[in-house]
Amino acid sequence: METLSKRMPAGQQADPTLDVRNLNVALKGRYGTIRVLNDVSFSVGKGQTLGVVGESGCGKSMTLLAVMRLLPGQASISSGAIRFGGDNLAEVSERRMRQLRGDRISMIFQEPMTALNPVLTVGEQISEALRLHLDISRKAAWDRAVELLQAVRIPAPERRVGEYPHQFSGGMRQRVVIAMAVACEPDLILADEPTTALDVTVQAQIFDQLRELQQRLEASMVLVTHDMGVISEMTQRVVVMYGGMSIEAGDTAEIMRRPAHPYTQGLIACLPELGRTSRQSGVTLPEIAGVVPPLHELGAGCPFAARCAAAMPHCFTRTPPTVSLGEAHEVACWLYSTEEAAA
Amino acid sequence: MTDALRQPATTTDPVDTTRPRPAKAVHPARETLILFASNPAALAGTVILAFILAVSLIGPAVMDADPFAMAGAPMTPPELFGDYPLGTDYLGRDVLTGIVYGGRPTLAVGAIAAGLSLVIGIGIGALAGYFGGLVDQMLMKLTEFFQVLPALLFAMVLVTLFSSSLWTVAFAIGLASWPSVARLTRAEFKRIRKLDYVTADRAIGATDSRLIWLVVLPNAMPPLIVSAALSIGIAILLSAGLNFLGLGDANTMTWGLMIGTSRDYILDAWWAVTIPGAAIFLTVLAISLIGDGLNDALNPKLRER
Repeated sequence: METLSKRMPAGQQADPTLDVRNLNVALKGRYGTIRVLNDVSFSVGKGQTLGVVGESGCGKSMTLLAVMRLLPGQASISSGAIRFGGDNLAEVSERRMRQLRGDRISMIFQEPMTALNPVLTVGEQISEALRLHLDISRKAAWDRAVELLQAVRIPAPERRVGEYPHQFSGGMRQRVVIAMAVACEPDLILADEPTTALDVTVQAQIFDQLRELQQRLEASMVLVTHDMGVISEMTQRVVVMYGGMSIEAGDTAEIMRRPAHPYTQGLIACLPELGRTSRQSGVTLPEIAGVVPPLHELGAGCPFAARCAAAMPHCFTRTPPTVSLGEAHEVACWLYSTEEAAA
Repeated sequence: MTDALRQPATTTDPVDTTRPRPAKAVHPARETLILFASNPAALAGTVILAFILAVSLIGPAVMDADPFAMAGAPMTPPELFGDYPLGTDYLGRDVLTGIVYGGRPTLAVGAIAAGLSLVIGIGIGALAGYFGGLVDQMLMKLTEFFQVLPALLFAMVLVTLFSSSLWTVAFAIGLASWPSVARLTRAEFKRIRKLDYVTADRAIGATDSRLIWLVVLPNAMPPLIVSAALSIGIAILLSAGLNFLGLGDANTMTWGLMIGTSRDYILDAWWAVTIPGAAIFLTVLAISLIGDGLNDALNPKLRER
């Protein structure tokens, strides 16, 4: 089967921080073995931000958990490579993985309300993150925790460092989570919908914060979201996922301008735009009909076929090939396959 | 992060300003203590238990008497301001001396047995609940094996097989009563290990042992504390039961032993049986009240007021 991004598109750095190749994740469950991730490939250059976008259940979070090797019990990496530094994370020992987690790679979770341990003060938790990887004293770790809280703009950090998570609001907790994630100055930050659970006003602050810290640390970031607006704001490159597959990938600007896959087109059409208000034109925002099919019902063929307005008979039976649409743009769709045949 | 920017006061979290923030950090344990102290039943239990503990711990030093020695005429009825405020039993032994001297070993057996059952139960339940799978199945089979044995019968067998010293009794009761603690611990671990903050802690590189003892266990403590308090009461009852059946240590005065030896004379000297029984009753009641109070204070639903 031909897969997306097998040939590296130009404009991509030769030595990426994270390089995921043909990652397959299988989930053993009630319906037998389900392929949660199907030949997913992407890479993130140093200091770059890659967006992963898609609806709920398309495998975005699973991709991050696979990179962290924190997949839930029944799921496991069945094949593929996850290259990070000199390691292949798909194969390294659990011991090595523990050294990397929190130190070189860190993760920001979706739900700040539940991502902090309720019985420890935030200072103790940030100190823990530091002391697990750095050889520093309790006192030094605590002082650094105060600095980190200050870096994520928590007012009165000297006082708040000794408080418990329940004394923080959602936005403040997410800042604490970010402070923990950047504590050891990681090379790669995995952010799983970091603002979904927060107020819109807080969202913007959190993203500014993330971007600032990322630039200061020269860290790479994988940002999972379902919001195309966030993608265009925050990322240089983007992978669009659907049904456990990456269906389109490339430069964010290029994909926002010329989305190729009908699904991506639908996602971008759903964005309200200033110049194209629904009030003016008298039409409501478009939506993509139908829902994401359960993964265990996916057979051969394009996972989006059932919802696709442009679906052809063979879309339902054969997996679409990957087609290059330019320097930094690839799509997995039958609509473009003739061009490839001609080329 | 040493170049961290000083934060101007302008960027405050909008959500944060909408609700008053406590001025000082309140530790959840402290909050629990405050709730516990405002519960009359729990306070009563604490006072009763404190009194019993004080009498048992200080009493023997003050009295300096032999609880087994004949102190007066057999079956002297209690006379509050007489020589024998609680009367004497059929051998003329002073009941008050027995109560005071019997407190320490009775409470000690309860505490040791409960401690042992907690250590075994939490250990096995934590491993089973945290790791799941084959480890869980094997440990739970073991737990079920112990659980189907009637606790008193099992303790009787152990005491009969080995010696009837205080330690054997405590050990036997502990060994017979850990399965419920293990099941409770396992259930809590199974619930908590799936929570985000455990995954988040794993994501900063924490080891399994760190996660088990420093992350999951502290969060699983509330129901375990309650269960520990109640299991002390149960252990005291079991040890009294063993003593009553004559399987306890006959050379150590305990409340159970007093009931056991005097039970044939209950019609002639009711006080020699009833008073140690009341002592056990009060102790177990006090511990239960404390356990219930802790349960209410640790219950997150009641906390949201």
